[in-house]
Amino acid sequence: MEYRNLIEECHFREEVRAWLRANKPKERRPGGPAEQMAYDRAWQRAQFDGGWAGLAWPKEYGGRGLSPSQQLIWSEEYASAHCPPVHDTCWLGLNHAGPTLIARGTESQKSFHLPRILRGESAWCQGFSEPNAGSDLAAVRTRGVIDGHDLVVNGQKTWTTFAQLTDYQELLVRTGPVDGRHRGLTWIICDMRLPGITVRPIKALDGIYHNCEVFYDNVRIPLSSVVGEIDNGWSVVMTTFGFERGAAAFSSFCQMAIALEGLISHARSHPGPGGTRRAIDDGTIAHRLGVARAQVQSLRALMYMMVEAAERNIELGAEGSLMHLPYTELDQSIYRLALDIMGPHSMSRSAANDWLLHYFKSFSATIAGGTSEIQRNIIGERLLGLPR
Amino acid sequence: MWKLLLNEDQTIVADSVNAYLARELPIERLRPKAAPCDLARVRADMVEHGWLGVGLPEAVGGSGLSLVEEVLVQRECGRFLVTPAVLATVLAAHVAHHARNADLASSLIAGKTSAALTILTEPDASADTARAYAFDWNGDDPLLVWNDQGMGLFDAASLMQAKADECLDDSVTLHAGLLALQRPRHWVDAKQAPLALRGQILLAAALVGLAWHACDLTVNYAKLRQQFGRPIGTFQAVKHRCADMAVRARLGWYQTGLACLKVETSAHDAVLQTAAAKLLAAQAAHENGRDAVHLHGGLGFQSECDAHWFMKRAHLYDQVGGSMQTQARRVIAEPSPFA
Repeated sequence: MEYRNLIEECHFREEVRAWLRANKPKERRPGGPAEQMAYDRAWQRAQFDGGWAGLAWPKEYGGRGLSPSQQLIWSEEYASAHCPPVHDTCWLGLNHAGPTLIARGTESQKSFHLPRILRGESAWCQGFSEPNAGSDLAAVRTRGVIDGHDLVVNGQKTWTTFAQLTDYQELLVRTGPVDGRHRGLTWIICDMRLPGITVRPIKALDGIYHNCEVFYDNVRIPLSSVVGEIDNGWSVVMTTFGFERGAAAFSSFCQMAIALEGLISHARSHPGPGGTRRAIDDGTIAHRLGVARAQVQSLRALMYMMVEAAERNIELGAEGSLMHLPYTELDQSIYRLALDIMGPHSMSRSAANDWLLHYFKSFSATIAGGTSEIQRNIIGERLLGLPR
Repeated sequence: MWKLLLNEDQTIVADSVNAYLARELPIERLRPKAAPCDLARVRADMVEHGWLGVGLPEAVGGSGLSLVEEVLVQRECGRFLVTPAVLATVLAAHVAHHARNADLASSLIAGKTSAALTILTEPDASADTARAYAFDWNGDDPLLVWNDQGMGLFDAASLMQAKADECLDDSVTLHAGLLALQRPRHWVDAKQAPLALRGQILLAAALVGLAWHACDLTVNYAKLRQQFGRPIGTFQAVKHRCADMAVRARLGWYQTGLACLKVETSAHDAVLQTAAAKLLAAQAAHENGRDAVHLHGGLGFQSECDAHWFMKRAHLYDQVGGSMQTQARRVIAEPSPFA
């Protein structure tokens, strides 16, 4: 335990701050998915041109090769500068598919896909969940059968985020026996323009078409698109999840932390429910804001610990996946608190739309990437050693 | 860069305190029919190991280390429900040191004088007297008191009309009385030294120790206790409460570590981080104490089960240096920690 004031880190922070101030988009992010996709691609391209794409990626793959603490500085400055949401349509390619390809892909997969992801030219979606394989991911049933040089895919995926807009998919299919569970799965890159793919967008509770059903009818995917090996997809999935549960969450966490500071400022300058005094003068609201602010700081402390462990190559094991559960539950409680502070104005889309959209989206946080229940199982079994 | 993992030396400090207390002051000592511990010898050992003056200069008999090592000692003391007099004595030595009373500081560090942790029921600095509660006070010890204005040490005679009472936490004794506020033996103003922040951080560390031990105790029980033909820890209703206990203890710990470093470096957000640490550590100790009692089932309700001590000590430490409600107000009164 110690504080190290590194002069290089201060210089780096200044550099990031100056670049973001000069280059962040002037216009707000639009509302509809197609417009968002165009906006996100342009912003990703701008970051690429500025030399800020793929911060964690090795330099040999076009990334910036930043250290974990530099990535954290970027995340903090990015959030403080009120840049667009990191969890955008390019997020999955940059934080999920790209790192998975770097770890497990072939040279030709890497040389084709990685530059396109960095430049914002190809966006990705995830094809893991199915109607009967949610938390129980090993129950995947979508079939992949080898025929010549292709894998022929039949079946259905669901809750696929932005499948209607994205170019490629991380697709998990069963190539082995039907009851093989974790064995006999294959992770393959699926071009979303292939014949036989039908995408049906689903309207979410916030009115936005975040997710889709995807149907595969004799979709022929070249075997050269397999990542890892045939029947060895589960280990590739675990590689992918490792990125999701690690540093990729820092940027969106920092944005939530800054949003809470915005909410505290709002509560100091606006009347609370009842309208007779500032929201912050309400004892209950002040207490809830204080607890939320403390909880945000404790997750920040946890993040510092994870960054330090990564810098020193310390394997954290189950402790490394501790953040997801408290972060997502805090996310929900902060936006719920925001609505309570807005009081009657929370009824109005025109008065409170930003907070409402965050609030609605926060319901997905405790479901996606492993529900809170799955997270508690992981902590109970892998960290505490409780029996299954 | 804020580094929160322990280095080798810090690990040795934490592990050696833990090993000593696990051997000499195991939690089972508090059971109704347990053999008494030789507290005089334990106290002599604590002095020998230098635990009372970890963060004080060697010139007054301290070890010349930092708040970090004090935090590690108090975390382990919290874990084993060591008397709050140890925490009070550590802080009293800091008060004496800042008041330039080297003799008293040395006497406290050498275990010749002990201080009693004391709280005021109406901490109104303008009044002459305030109702006070002193924990594990032997009638002669000086009393350690603090509020927003500073931290002070009062002679035993300052506690008037002292009467023995029973404490919510029956592992400690309680005296109630009227404290003569105008005659502190030493008073260190908050502007002179941030001793109140030190006190809150040491309490947060002790509260984390409570929360962590309550979790360990419960997890071990959930692995062993069988119902419906299997360990109760296999049931998600039990497993998930254990997971929540683990998360609370760890987040409380990392926040306490961060606050400790912020105070050490006089960071702009030291007050906010300290209040956040005390708040979350108290919340973790309260909730883990409750869950520890609950998850031990009928046994958890009994005095012979160790679970209830954590719940009770959590109440005591929550009331010292500002309870959770006060800490939440402090957290929200500060400017943004993102500079």
